Amino acid sequence: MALVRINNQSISSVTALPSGIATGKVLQVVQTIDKDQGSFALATDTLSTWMTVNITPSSTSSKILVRFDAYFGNQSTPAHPYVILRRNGSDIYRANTAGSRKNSTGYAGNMGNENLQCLSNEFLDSPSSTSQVSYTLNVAGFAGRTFYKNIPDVNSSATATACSSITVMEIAS
Amino acid sequence: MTDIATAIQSLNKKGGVNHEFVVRGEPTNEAEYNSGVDFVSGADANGTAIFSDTKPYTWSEVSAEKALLQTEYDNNQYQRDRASAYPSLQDQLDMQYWDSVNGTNTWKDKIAEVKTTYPKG
Repeated sequence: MALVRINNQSISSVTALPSGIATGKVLQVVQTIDKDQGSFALATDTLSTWMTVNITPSSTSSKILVRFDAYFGNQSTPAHPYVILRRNGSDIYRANTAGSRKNSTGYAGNMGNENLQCLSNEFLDSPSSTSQVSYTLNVAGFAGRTFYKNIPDVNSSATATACSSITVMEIAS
Repeated sequence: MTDIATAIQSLNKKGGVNHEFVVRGEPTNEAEYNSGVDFVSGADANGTAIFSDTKPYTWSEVSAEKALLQTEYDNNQYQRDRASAYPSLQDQLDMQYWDSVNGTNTWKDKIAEVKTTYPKG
């Protein structure tokens, strides 16, 4: 097997990146998890905050990598839940409009009442701030119909609950 | 699922209204209902829901509606049991064909067996 050497050292001897590499390092990671069930019934276009995670960048040049996994269930009458990612209350990652469709960060659609749909996405943000930044995952539905977080509508031994999370990583840049 | 959200939606339907809401967890008492359920009164300029300080339904009303829905669901258990016990429509048609050919009562007996096994109410 070939031996990979960095600066003529074996891998086991490398305990830190060379000091010249200042970008791309993960400086801090913060995560909010949600293991609880809940439900929403919201009018079209009305948003409710689901998960929030706060981070204080160490430098204005830092990037913040935001990722989330959000599990949705709905009743047999679909509520068409979707999510919008925001920083300090403002949209930061939202699709362009297309006809009558809602423009969102992620759309769960009609997943049936036995299933859960996981919405996942990532966004590399540039907040240009050293003050605390608040990232929120906001949810909305359709016509006040009920949809669930982390739990399918059908309660049986064949279905299961789930966990959701939002994670932010400060990346040196 | 018979839960608080379904009970609120049922009260909405009976009242001909559409109160929007958010439920955190599954409240089992008045304190959890008061702290875990918020009703939407409007939205701000960014579209974010503004929650009302008051609730259109009391815990007594919501919990009573949930109990009513649960009773209805439980009373219909025989329907769900029968539905899963009946042979498929294809098999029933096959039974009826051979019953008509052979003069037997296979289909009728099978349906009666399921009804007897899972009696109404």
